[in-house]
Amino acid sequence: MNKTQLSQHPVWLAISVVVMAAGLNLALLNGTLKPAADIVLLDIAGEGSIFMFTLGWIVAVLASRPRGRVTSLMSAGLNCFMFTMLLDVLDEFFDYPPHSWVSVIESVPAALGMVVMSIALYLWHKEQLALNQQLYRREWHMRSHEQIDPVTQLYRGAYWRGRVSACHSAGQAAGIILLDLNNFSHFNQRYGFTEGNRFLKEIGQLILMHLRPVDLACRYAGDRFALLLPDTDSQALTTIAGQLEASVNQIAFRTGLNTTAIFHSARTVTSVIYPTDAPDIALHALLLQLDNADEAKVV
Amino acid sequence: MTISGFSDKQLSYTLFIRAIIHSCEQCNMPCQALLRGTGLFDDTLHDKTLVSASQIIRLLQNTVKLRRQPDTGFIIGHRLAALSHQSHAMFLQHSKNGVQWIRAAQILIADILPLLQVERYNTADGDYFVFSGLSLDRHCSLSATLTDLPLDTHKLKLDSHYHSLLLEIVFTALTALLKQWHGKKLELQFLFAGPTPSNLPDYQTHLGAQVRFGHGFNAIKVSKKLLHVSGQSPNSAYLLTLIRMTRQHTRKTMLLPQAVRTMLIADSEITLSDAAVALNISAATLKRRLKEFDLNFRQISDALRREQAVFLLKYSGLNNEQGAMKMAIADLTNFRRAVKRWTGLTPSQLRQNR
Repeated sequence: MNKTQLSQHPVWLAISVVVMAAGLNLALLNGTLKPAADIVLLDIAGEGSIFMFTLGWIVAVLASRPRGRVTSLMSAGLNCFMFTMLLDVLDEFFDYPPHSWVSVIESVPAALGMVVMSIALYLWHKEQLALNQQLYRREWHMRSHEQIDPVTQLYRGAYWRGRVSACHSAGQAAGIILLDLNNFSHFNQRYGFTEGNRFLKEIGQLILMHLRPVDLACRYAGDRFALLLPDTDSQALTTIAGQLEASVNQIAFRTGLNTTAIFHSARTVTSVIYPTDAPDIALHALLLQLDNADEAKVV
Repeated sequence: MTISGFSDKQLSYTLFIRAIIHSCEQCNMPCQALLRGTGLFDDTLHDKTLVSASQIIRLLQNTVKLRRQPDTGFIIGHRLAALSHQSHAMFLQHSKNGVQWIRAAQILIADILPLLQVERYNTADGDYFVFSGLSLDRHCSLSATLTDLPLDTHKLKLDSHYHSLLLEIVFTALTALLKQWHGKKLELQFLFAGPTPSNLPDYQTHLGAQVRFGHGFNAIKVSKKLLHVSGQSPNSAYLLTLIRMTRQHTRKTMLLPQAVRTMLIADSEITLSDAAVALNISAATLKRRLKEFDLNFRQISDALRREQAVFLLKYSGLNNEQGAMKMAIADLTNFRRAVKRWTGLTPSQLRQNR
């Protein structure tokens, strides 16, 4: 994936350049340069920085968003706004003849830009709701992108622990499943970490398929996944954990151009943390249990 | 035995350096930037390359600066285990039982793990292997748990990052090698001087559930049970040959602070000038050389005494006579006063504080 989306938007980048050129031409054609004594440096600094920041925002929007209606409206609005800001700065350098149409229309683009931006933000809100739908089972009422693991695109263990205690303090019973791949360091050594990471990613997807929309799956750390299933009894947890183990066993993973499949096993532990329990102690006991669970030999 | 100063290129830690370099891709770190300023070059690195303590520290600091993932240290640790399993650590595989494995591992540690020294303390419920070395000692004061000794918190923060990285690497490598030998994960307890880190899940996954923080020292606790577990392919003759070969091949080098510490373990009354005489240098030179490590004689001695006092009295539960004898202190009243000075607690308070 590209680090920026700028290459997606040649048209919008060109439009921004055109807008700036138009502003500059307008001032040059209609105005006359002020004498140096009349130029106020403080105004230039103030208005100039607003112009520069608006330009920065346009680049930021284009760099971070894919093409689409929301992006187009956002850059259109910001471009209108920038046009006014540019004329404002140039005001400090140029004198216009009295009642010149330039100074009359100067503020119109900004107002228009604000309206367009507001529509864009409303649509952005709707877009965000749709994206949240896409993220269900991966994210829970809290966004912190630094905690996303780049390999599996799931949140890391620290985030999961945070959600468990949030669930606990909200008075909900938290069903917990921990899944650990058996002898995964062997896998990495034998097939290389690139294949290892690919395998982890696939397992992450597989786990997501087993979950309800209200559940949460995270990569706890290394080869260990952590699931949080609110309001689930221990019997249901055991069933789900068993199904997860069976699914992992069934995955026929192929590396490189090999047609021979690799099968891998996993072990799970489950527990329900009730609002009356201490989550840290329960979690510690569960991790101990996982450490002591027998690892079957890798085939 | 060679004794090495801060910038003397006398240490052979190729495996450790390789483990870091080979992990940079998996950890999303830029490889070129990693070696910047270390004076190390990937293409000229070979098995006999000798480096200095300052180069290793620089490499660790670079890694801390460039790391993008919280599990970087653990990935490097696994890599180190895999690399050493192919060379030096091969003989570990043939240990008969836990006792033998640990003995062989101690030879290995001196060989592949830079900057660290391990001290073993026996207690009723298991053995503690306390890791010390460099300014690690300075930060392992008991202030966190027992007393409120004054501590330079700024310096502590600065150094503690690469200290915890080093410990992550070392502890992960040892855990992985132990698992490889036995075939199953064995229960070890890890004690850390620092506070609970934000990447606690990484510690729990790569090291095991038994990790504790804020302990005043860095140690691995080995239960009595572990000493008797057996390996998968014991072969004493092979093991002995390999140990002998490894001993011949590796240069015996000790860092200066470690040499001073070793002298202090043998004789508690030793002073800076005594140590200088034993090392054939002047007292001023010894002081200056230690300062390069960011340490002074008093800090090394105090850290060692603190560690000994805590382990002998608190964990092993020795009485004053036994404790004083182990610490090589002749006079008992002096012993009580000294323990109070080092740990902030009297011997009897320490024993109660279990």
